[in-house]
Amino acid sequence: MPLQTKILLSVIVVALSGLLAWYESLGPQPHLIWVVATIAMIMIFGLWVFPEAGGGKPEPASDHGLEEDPNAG
Amino acid sequence: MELATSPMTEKQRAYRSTYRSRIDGWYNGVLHVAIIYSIAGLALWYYSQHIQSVQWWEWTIVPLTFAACNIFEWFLHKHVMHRPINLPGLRAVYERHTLQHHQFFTEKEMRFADAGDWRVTFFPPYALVIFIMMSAPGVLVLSWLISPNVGWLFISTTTAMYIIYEFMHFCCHVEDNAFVRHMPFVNTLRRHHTAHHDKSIMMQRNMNLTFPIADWMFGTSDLNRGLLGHIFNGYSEKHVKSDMSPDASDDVRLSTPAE
Repeated sequence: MPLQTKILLSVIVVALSGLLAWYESLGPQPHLIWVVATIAMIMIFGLWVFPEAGGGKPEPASDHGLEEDPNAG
Repeated sequence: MELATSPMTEKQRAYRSTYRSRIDGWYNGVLHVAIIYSIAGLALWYYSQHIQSVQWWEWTIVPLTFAACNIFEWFLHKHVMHRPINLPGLRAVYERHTLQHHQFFTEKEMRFADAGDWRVTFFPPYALVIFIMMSAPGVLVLSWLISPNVGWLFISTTTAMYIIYEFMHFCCHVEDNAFVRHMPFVNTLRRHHTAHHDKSIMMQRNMNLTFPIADWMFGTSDLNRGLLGHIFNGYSEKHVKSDMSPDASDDVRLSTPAE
């Protein structure tokens, strides 16, 4: 995953968990703030620490019964 | 480490070896799964804390979301994971799936050698993060338009479907055992997905990875059966279609076919 995407996704996770924590602090179950924070931390851990797998150079698509679609995308 | 006995070709064996060499040495499949299921489990518990006194009609969001997820899974698999789209994120999904996963596992050898191979089947944790983020606006909209219970039940279903997807796909690549052989739905998907790994049909057939409902509905299954027959087919190959040319997959079935 590109670095910019990781940063963007991390910022979204932090912002959303901040909003949820604020929402929970106003409600009847303020202990849920800790659940939100834990989920956010595991998400950030998963985003940054988990290794990408290269998988080696892919073979040409035609080797897999697939013709590259020139119109794709 | 590789499987001691296997009918895989030398090409597949070489690819699996190359793929493993590219995975960071500290990769741990159990940790990978633990992260995914910790996020999903905690998220599901968190959602449940907001659901109370559900009215009977509010439960209807669950089967509706289940059906939408089934079609979404089919669409993503058929049109993104098996189609090279020239957008960086989507192209990476195609490469990870068609060019890596389908080389690592073929219809001749579908099994993991050990937990280190789980990397090629489970999505990276960020995929679940993205999936939850995609569902979040739905919670807001449904809570505002209908009721908070409907919003929380919606995201509970999408998150549950994600981990069901991961579990079912995992079961397709483990050694055959009594559980996967006899467990309804799991045994059906194992045969369904093994057939999908046959390169001659992988671009057109058997795109569901949980329950083959959308495959039945859109005529992209390799079986000629009704919906219940599809879902409870198990390992049986009695109803496998004889004509599975690419043209034959273009039929769109919206009515019940002959059993």
